[in-house]
Amino acid sequence: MKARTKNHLRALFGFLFIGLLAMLTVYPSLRFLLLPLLGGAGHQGLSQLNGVSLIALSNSVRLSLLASALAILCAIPAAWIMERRRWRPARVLMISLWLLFVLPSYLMTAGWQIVFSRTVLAHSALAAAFYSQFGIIFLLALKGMPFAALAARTSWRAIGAELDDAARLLIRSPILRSLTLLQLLLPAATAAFAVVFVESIQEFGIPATLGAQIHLPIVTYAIYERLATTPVNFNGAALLSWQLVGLALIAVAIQLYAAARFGGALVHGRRRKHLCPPPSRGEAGLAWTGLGALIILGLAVPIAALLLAAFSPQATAESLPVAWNSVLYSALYGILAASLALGIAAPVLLHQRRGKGRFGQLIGALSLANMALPGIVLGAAYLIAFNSGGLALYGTPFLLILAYVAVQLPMLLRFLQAPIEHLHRNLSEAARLHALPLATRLLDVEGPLLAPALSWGWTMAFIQVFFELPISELLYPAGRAPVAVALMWLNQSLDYTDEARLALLAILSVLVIVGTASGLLRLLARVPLAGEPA
Amino acid sequence: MARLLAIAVLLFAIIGGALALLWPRQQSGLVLYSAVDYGPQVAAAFTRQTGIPVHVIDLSTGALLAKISAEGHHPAWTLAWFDGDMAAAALDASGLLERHSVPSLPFTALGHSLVPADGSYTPTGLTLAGVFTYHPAAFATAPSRWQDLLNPALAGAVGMNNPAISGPTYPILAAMLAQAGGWPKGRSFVTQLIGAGLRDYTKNANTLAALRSGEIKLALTQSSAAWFVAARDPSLRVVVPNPSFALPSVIVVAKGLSARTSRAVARFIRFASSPKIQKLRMMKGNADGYYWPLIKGITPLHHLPSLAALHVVHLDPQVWGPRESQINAWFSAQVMNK
Repeated sequence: MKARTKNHLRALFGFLFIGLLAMLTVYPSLRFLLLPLLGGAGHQGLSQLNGVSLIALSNSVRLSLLASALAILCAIPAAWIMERRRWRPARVLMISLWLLFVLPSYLMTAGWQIVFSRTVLAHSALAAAFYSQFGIIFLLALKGMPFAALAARTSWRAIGAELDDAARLLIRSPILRSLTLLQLLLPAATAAFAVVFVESIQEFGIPATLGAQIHLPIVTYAIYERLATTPVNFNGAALLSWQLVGLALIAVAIQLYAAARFGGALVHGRRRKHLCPPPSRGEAGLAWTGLGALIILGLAVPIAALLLAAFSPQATAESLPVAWNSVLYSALYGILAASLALGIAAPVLLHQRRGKGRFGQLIGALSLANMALPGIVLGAAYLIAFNSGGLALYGTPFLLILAYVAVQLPMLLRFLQAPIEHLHRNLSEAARLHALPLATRLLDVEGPLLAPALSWGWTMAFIQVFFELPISELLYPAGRAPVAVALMWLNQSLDYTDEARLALLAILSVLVIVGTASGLLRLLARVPLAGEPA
Repeated sequence: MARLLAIAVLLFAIIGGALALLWPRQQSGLVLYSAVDYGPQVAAAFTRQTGIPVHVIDLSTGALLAKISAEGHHPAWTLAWFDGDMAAAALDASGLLERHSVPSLPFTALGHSLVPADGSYTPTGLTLAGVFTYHPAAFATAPSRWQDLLNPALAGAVGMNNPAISGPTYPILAAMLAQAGGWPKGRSFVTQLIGAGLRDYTKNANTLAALRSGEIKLALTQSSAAWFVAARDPSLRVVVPNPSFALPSVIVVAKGLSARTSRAVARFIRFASSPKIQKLRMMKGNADGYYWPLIKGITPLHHLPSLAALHVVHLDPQVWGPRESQINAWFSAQVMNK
């Protein structure tokens, strides 16, 4: 009887979670995307798909393809040096890629805009190139590098030493040998290409800063424009959103085809680990050049430009009001959204650990589908879905937080899945057999083992929410704008000094909050050693 | 167990504290979305005099219009103050504004002509959509007509705002099209101007900064911004082109307010139009203070020329307002293709 009740409760929990996911993503997305077909909101159907939309689509595809190709070309050798050579600065390379991943694209763009606003460079050929499509490709490629390098690294790791040996024995020409080995990377390269392409077409920060300034229509910013200019055009925004979703699906389909056509099992019983030799002089030279270029172009120049601008005197005659309180609001939104997302993801994964079945598959599918939904589309969907009837939440901080949770939840479900699944439930059960109370089991058995993953997940979610732009632009409550909106306003007014100051304050605040949170967690989840009082 | 309780209390305190700080408070009084520099000062003076609290939310014109549109029929605002009757007409066409909200005021003849028939917005001051600002040393003969912008001497040297980013710039674009024959006939004039190297900047301040740095020779901006900068930099001159186009600031009222709030709103509009407060708006309003009053018996700042000497045209906001998205998109495409 007790077991049956338990099963019912478990099923109820599963249904509740699926209902929550549906409310957070499926309902708003469908309500928004089906708008052109169902009518309403100034229904003009497919006639909204005009020339400008098609130009935006063509620009998005072209720029994203070129940026993805550039990112992959740089990422494959970068991953190779990390996996196949004993190169000490590989750790620095990995940290740089992480920092590049975390640095918001609009801040990177702002850094470069500050560089080219200097009188010496303002009219140079470099500035002309930056304020063109090349500038956008360059920035998109830099932002795509971490995704591409991570994917390529996994594949280099999978190609065992025995394959290298076989190639050396059977293929005489070094070029042919390299090409054959590179062929093994094809599925991973295609997957990485698809990920970078999808990330690039969904990117909003670069089109909203550089793209808007040079009048280059790009789908994500075009969606925002449809919703932020009078008269608001919901149908046009929905049709453009279909284009984004369609492009993401095409990219995934191509990647699946490549995996099926060129893929093969690389991990097997006879797989041997590579004994990584130190790099040759030429290899080391190239690696140092690449690392230097990545750090200088992606991190040093933008951050140094922000620092310099922050400590420079105001350049414009009329100073604009700066929303310093936006840092506080972003911190509050970040704390609430990251905690809520973590508070949902962790119990769901613990529940799923008890028995994998359809529930687990459904969670996987829903979270994957949600990841394919760009922030700008989700923001627009929330604008439509939660703006009428009993769900009139638009304009309140809660809708913004809900949207942040909807974006972070799939990422946390994916990220925490492995650490939680690896934690065998016997640990907790053994502790229970020894009559340890629930608090001890949670805090001293499972807690310390899960703390690093939970802390890392919360930190990633918090940072992403803190600097999130597209959803914030569409859903922020008036008078309580998050820092990304305040930064964008200063950027579009070309007030780089105040923008840099606000950005630095925001970065410092993030460091303080993340440091305090992880310190607290460490303190609470500390495992008492033998002889130490608990 | 004590530790578990301590953690729960700590988490509750952090999350509860964050929620308490973000919890929407019931706003008593009025909520003013303001895109004019003098909005907060007028609101503070109103509260001092009447005791009615006004919660001011400062926004750019573009963001303000986007917020009002997005909030739709669930407005979090009670009144909004911004530049541009075309935008107000577009909001009215969407059914978002309270009609017949214009209180009885001693308007001038021009003021009367700017009040819409359905009373959906109150004009509160007049600026001009596009005036020329330049360094006199740069020209032997100063440009004074719209066609002068196509003078080869000005190739690559004319700058204006980007209408996709700057809220009050669409009326300048509409003005350029209107003086050249309307829409779509006037497109050739704008296309020629773009072909001659028209530069675009994000906002008025940036366009005028480009003029002062010598990057451009002539800035085409809203009149209030031009005279504000010229008042601080005597080396600059402002010329009003013939014809010039009206760009009034307006107050709009949210639809469906209670009778009590509607009375407070009408009181605010009358207060904002009173001579004492118009003086405050001019003195404390930064660039937005450079406007011509539309109420009898009030004189503008001395930098502004007499309206009687100008040929001011008022474009029909009911016609030009709904075209905004189409014309802005066309302009962006032209700039891209140049």
